[in-house]
Amino acid sequence: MQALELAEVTVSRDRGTPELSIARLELGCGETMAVTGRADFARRTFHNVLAGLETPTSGRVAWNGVDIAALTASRRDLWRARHVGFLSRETNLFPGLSIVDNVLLPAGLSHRSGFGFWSGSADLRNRAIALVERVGLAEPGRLVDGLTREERRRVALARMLLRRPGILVVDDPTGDLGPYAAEAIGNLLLTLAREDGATLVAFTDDERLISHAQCVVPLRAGRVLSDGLVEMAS
Amino acid sequence: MIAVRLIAADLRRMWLATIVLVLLIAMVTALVLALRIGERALVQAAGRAAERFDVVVGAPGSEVDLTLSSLLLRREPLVAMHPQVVEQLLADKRAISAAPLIFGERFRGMPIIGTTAAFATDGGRIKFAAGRIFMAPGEAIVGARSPVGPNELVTLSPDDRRRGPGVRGLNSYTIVGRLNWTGTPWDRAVLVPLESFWQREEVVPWSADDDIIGAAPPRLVMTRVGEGTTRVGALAPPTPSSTQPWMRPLRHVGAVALRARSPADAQSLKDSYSSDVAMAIIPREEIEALRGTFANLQAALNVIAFGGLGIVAVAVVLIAISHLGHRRGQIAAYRALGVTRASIFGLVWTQLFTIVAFGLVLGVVLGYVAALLLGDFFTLSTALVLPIGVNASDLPLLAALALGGAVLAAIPAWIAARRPIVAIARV
Repeated sequence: MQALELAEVTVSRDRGTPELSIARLELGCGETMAVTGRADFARRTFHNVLAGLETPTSGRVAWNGVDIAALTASRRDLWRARHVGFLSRETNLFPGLSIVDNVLLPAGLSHRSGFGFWSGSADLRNRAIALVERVGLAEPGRLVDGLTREERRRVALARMLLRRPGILVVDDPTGDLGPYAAEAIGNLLLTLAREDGATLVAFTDDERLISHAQCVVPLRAGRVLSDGLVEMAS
Repeated sequence: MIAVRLIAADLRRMWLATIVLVLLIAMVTALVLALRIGERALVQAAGRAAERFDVVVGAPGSEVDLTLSSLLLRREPLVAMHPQVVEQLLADKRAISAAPLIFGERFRGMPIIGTTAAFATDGGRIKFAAGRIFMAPGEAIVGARSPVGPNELVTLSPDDRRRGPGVRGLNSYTIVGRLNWTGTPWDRAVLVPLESFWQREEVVPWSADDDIIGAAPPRLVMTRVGEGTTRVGALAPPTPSSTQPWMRPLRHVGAVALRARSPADAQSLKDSYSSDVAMAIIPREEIEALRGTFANLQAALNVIAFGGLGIVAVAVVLIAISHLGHRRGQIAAYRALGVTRASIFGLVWTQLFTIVAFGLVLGVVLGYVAALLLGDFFTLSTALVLPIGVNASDLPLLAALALGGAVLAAIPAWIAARRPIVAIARV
């Protein structure tokens, strides 16, 4: 079974020309897809549709057989919480909290933890600490306020992976980093995704990440230009 | 407990705004509460002061002056009553007791009141902390809050004499007793025999003959004004009996305090002595009127206080919404990572309500302290001890404020929770 299936997906605003139009797109489980092209509205929309943040105007977006476009908003929230991890340039770490608390935060605010007002599970905390160390940060209790951009990206990477999501959607994760930091973060991302067997969708122009992708989707003005798996939108 | 750490961290980061919001809420709460506590305490204290007499009769004039002078022993100049009205009151069968009150000068700010021994101890209800009752002009007893005590000699200085419009009595008194605490202005009074004002030149051995001052003034007539009701009326022409000497001069009496046999007698006494030669009040009625006045005043102040509360509420919501604007990136990220709207609502609401709760608690403390200070200030100037306190009757007000705060906190929380993720920011 394919991890991701898109069919006849369009997103239109104000009844005009579709902002996004994808006839068909498929990706296998545990594979990596790189979506390239200018970081414009269409790319953002594609990102949101794939991640279940936005529903398409028409078409089917299925992850592991589940059509997320057909889910209600609250069920999509739950689905996202269980299956999707995000990483982008904007790490949106919470200032004044420690590294490990930032990693724990989204999972810790779930209803299972009394929306964060009960003590979270020790297993989750242990995994968070282990992940912090795995992404190369030595002090889980350190406040995030003084971290460098690369370190913040590492924290966000650990946060994304905490609940072992099967789908990772990353948006330009290395674009604003120096070459060494970009390489380190890129390698870490690919390694951790492979270790967890996650399907990775990377919106990036980073050649290193693109070179590791089994599927490259060049997106221009909301349409896929060429790929063996993809039909051009008419 | 990660939500608690998150809220604590955010409150620490926005400490200045947090402090401002807490103080704003606290000040408005304190204002509302202090007004309520103060009004209640003042009415209770005045009611307690009014328990000492059922009816007070004075010369025609201002009812407010008569009330303030008799209840609070304020320095309101009272016109002396007609001696014959006093005499008539002393003999009135509708009263269990009647005590003439002469409002004398002040010693170090304490009023010197001439009265009877029975009234001084409220018919024996007020016990002595030390000493005994006065037994002759030149002797005095003091209330519990008086700075002077038994065996001390009180001598009025020229300064004391210059201040105050009171009736001039003797120059000095020997304190012979101190009464127990009553929580009324009488605790700061110097109580002396009435004769001290009728024999003011020197303290000399007292004899009843000294009170004989000559012919009695023209007599008054009691006129019938209704079924079983009489009223002190116009002066009648002198009668032959008026040439008889008086054993009591009954001069300088500012008011007569009476205990009536029944509420009906109190009303009857009031009716009888409300005329062109006398004025009568029932202190409890005056307290009720005072309560009405306070209620109006409080209503006006409440409008101001609740107006302030409304302004603070708007400020809290606006500051909260503005702050959420700075946090929208985080909110979007957490929503994208599966945090539900309910969680976001709970977080924002809890954080805001924490601020509101701190403000309310601080407001209760400040309101109580403010009421205590106002009460102390009032006690200093009147000796009327106000029973300041927060009690169960304040709980509905506090609950209403807390409920208002909860609803208020829900507005920004709802806005934060309902905002679509894609509309907030880049994930």
